[in-house]
Amino acid sequence: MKKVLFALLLTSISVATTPVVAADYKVVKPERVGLSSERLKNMDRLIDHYVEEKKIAGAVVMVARKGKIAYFHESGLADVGKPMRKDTIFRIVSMTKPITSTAIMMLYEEGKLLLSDPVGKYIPEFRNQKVLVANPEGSAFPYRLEPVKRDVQIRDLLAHTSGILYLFLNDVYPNPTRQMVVDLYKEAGITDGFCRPDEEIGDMVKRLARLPLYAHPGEVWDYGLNSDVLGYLVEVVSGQKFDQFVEQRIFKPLKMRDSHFYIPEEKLPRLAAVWKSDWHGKLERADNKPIIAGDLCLYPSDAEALSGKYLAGGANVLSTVYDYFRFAQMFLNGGELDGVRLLSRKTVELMAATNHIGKHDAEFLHSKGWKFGLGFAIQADREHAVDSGGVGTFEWAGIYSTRFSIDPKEEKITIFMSQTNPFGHHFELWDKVLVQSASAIAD
Amino acid sequence: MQLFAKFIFAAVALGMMVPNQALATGPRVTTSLFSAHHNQIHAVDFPPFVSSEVVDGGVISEIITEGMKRSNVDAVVTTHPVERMVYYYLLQEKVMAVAGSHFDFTKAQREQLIFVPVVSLEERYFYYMPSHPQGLNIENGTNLKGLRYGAHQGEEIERYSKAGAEVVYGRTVTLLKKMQRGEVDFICAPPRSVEWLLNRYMKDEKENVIAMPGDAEAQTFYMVFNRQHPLGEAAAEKFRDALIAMEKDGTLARITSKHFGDGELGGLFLKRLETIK
Repeated sequence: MKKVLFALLLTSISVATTPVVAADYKVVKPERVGLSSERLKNMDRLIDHYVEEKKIAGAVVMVARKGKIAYFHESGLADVGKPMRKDTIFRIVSMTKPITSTAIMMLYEEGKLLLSDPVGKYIPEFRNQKVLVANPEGSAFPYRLEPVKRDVQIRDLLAHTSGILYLFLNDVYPNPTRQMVVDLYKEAGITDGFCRPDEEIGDMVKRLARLPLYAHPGEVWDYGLNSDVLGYLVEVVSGQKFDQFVEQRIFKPLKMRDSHFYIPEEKLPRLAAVWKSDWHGKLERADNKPIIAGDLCLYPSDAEALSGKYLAGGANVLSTVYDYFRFAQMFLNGGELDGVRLLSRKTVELMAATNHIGKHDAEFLHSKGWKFGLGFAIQADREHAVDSGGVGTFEWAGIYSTRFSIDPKEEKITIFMSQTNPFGHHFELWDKVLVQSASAIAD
Repeated sequence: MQLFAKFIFAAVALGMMVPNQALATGPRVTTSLFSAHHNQIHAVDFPPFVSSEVVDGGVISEIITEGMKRSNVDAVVTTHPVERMVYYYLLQEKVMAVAGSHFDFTKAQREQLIFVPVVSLEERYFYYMPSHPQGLNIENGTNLKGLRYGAHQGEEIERYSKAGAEVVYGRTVTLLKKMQRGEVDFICAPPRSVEWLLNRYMKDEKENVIAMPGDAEAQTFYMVFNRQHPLGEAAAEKFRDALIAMEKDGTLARITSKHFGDGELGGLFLKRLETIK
């Protein structure tokens, strides 16, 4: 009796001190959807091992198939003294981009815009753009500006073929031309948005548009601030603030109740901390200062702001594994979830088509063998190093270590979320997660 | 008007005739965004005086456009977010003219350029009250040790560094935000600029950004014509003459009043274009 009372007491304390769980997670037996329970234990071992080795503080992983959640595992810590939970809220950063693409494609389906429209049709600052070309060494002026061969189109922004850069990739792909463009960005106060500036997104976009492009539109694939421009484009075309549009038209219909541009105060206790890891066992919680490495600036504390002006279509959203599953399932279902249709099947097919970037590969996360659609990378063959289980699988990731993967042929979704810095270490872990997910298929 | 300065006109005659070029088509400061134009006058954003966000591009833009129109040179003002773009067009593309202040040219470059002063703007020093609750006064300016001065690119900074101040660069709005974050102690800028930027970007901080007593040195805003452009020298003379004529016939006063006056059109300088539909 004493034990029962003690247990009841514990339960009541737990209920009183932890926020209400936002969703009723229905997890089915993996075998019901053609997955192996036994093999999914490899995923447990994998994640728990990385936590034990203190490479990461914690993570939440989900595998869903045929519309059902078959695996949902949390491990380690969300914050000091706070275990990771299934409803922990994460900074999903670049996993915001597919959400922004969805908003644009909804406007496309409504006839408000065409993907072939020049962006300058809606944002005049994008007209008459120039491309920066480095002059030969020893020239009186280091560069020259060439008029664009054609205007930046909405499709270029969705597929990252606009010639607009991210500053932080200057450290990854250094070359003199990129350096000169990045220097102009810096002088103009353009940031990647991971250290949120105190301005409206439109102000940043209008300055960015008046700076030279790194390459002629359509001639490169270069991951950049394109989704941030798209977020502002949503504002211009819809007449709504970007966050309001997304909340009313995407989050609410999909019942993504824990997805926000700025976190409600009552959900702050569920926000995971960011941890710095050297990947060799040294793990410490990031403090409230920006994390700066070369041209990369990250500011985890931005996520604690209850309100703000900056609405970055490439980086702003906070979400949970479950919410993102609902978003991903909408894609897997061809644009619909629980009777709510956001996009048509044909539009989803268009977004996941592999020919948007021509001969280029989407090398930044995946290297060769991956193409980029209208908001995410797509596996194009099975001949290269990064294999997520099948041709046609599409996915993207976030800089604090989050990743989603949708395999349409196998009707399978895999989502991994951690909050660990720096970013570069995680490719190996993510790839292993996707191997475990694919190898659990047992039908 | 009292804050907006006196107009300065050059007296040097170039003695060259300007062939009639394409007919002027009126003020097109913002319409330059809509079509490529062969005679663009490049300027760095300098709100509210030169800015695509302000009605008719701001008071200086409108003066320049009107002056060029009277000079029979079909030209538009194109604004850039960074000064080095303006340098690029002048020195690399050898465009007819650029406009701005705080230019830092070499002697050889200056020999190829003709400077026509358009307007002289009174400037003040500003500091951020929460960082200096006892106030800050650098009036004698001889000992600035321990202070950080927020400078614009190309600005003359020797006197500040000689007096011991650390110099930090940025656009005016960036410098205001740096003051707010405690990264800069004082800046020098036209009060109209500071007022406009605070209204636009930092409304809640208006009471905290304080002007020090007394004027700083005036900032001269120039049209800089390029001798290496076939129209450069002739256009410079025509533009000078146009400015003198505009002052005599009251055009300058009318444009100034439109942007800063109290009349029906007054106060447009504070209005962003998108708010006027």
